[in-house]
Parts: sequence; C-alpha cells; structure tokens
Amino acid sequence: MAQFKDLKPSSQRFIRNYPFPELVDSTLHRLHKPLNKCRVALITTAGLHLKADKPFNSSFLASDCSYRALPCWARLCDMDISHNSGDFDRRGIQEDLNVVYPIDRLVELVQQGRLGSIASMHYSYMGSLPRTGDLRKYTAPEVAQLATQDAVDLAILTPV
Amino acid sequence: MCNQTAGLIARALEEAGISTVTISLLREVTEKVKAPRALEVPYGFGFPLGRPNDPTVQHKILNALFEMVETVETPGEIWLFDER
Repeated sequence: MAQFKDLKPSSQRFIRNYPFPELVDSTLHRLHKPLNKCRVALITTAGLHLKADKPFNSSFLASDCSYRALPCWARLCDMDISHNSGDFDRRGIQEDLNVVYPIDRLVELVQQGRLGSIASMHYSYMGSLPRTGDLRKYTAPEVAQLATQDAVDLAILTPV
Repeated sequence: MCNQTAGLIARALEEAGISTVTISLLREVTEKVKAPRALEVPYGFGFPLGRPNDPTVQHKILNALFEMVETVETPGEIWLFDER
C-alpha cells in the first residue's frame, strides 16, 4: 500500500511543509440517472499525451497546469508519458495502460450494458504541481466545460 | 502531488454539475484537498488500478467507484478498497 512513509524523504519533507489551500467542503453532484444511461470520462494526472501533441513541461518547478485531450480511440501506442516524478513507478502503465487509464475496462462495461457510453474525449494533466492556482482558476474549469459539452455525467480521476 | 491535482480537478467538475469519484493513493493529501468522493486503494504509486493485466481487480475497483457515486451523500467521504 502506498503510504506517506513510502515517499522519498525529499517528497515527505515537501508535503509536510506544503501550504495546502484552505478549502471548504466540495460541491457533491448526485447522479440523476442510472449508470447504464451515463456517459463516463477518464481524467488522469499521469502526464499522458498523444505523441503528436506537445509534451508537458516535466520540470517540477515549472508547475505545468495545462491538460491534453485523449480521444477515446487512443491507446498506449498512440501516447507518450511526460510525468517523470521519481515517486511514479511507470512499470505498471508500460505493461498495461489500464493500470492508470482503464479505457478497455470502460469499453467492456458499455458492451455489457453496465454503462451508457464513453466520452469522446478524456483528459490528462501532469500531476506534480507545486502551484495549483492556474489549475483551479483556468484549466480544471476548462476541462469541466469541455466535458459538459461532451454530455459527460461521471468522471473517474486517477492519480499516480 | 498527483493526489492533490486529481482532487482539485474533481472539485471543479462537481461545481460544473458532473459527478466524480477519485482514486486516492495517498489519503493524507486527498483529505487535505477535500476531494468530493474518493476510494483509497492499497497499491503503490503508479498503480491506481492495481497490478497490470489483472482485469478482474480493475473491474472490482471500477465497481467500487460506481457504488460510491451511487450512494455517497456527504462530500469528502473516503472509502477503503479491499480486493477480497
């Protein structure tokens, strides 16, 4: 199990001293339809992007809050991984994309009738962000708007 | 910091009217950002859906995520996934 003590000492020190934003309880939006009518999107912080797209800035201090769209047809052979944190063990995703981005499982669930449909676009961010202002102010609301336009009902978020 | 980023994105989606559920690999951070709904999983960093090429467990995790979305009524709730 991943635990705080599993982090590198430098990462432990960083998190211990990190000024987390003071946040109120989040909004909680209840599903208003059964899962077999829902459209589902994946959002990962693994730094995935299409090979044709601009890579993320992998420098921790750059705090790249941008995102990349991943079309529903994209699989690992179409992607690169920008995320290079020493705490992110890439061996799992290199063997099976679904360890981080369970797109094949979602396809199966739609085929089984458990889910309604899969979003046409999914999204990826670089998770190692020491500064989150631009994420909270711009890029997270932008993806929320894009997902709304794609009629997404439910999003599954996967950190690494 | 991935767990912070995921939680913050989830909050923005909920504000826009999209339901979310977030996998957590580090409960301490997920609690700090008050992710709307989170499932803590017993795997290492880089393995939010468990071992590679294990679709059975991947489906179990997805089912647990769906159960959270269908039942949780309190923001900030974190469940612990047990693959047994």
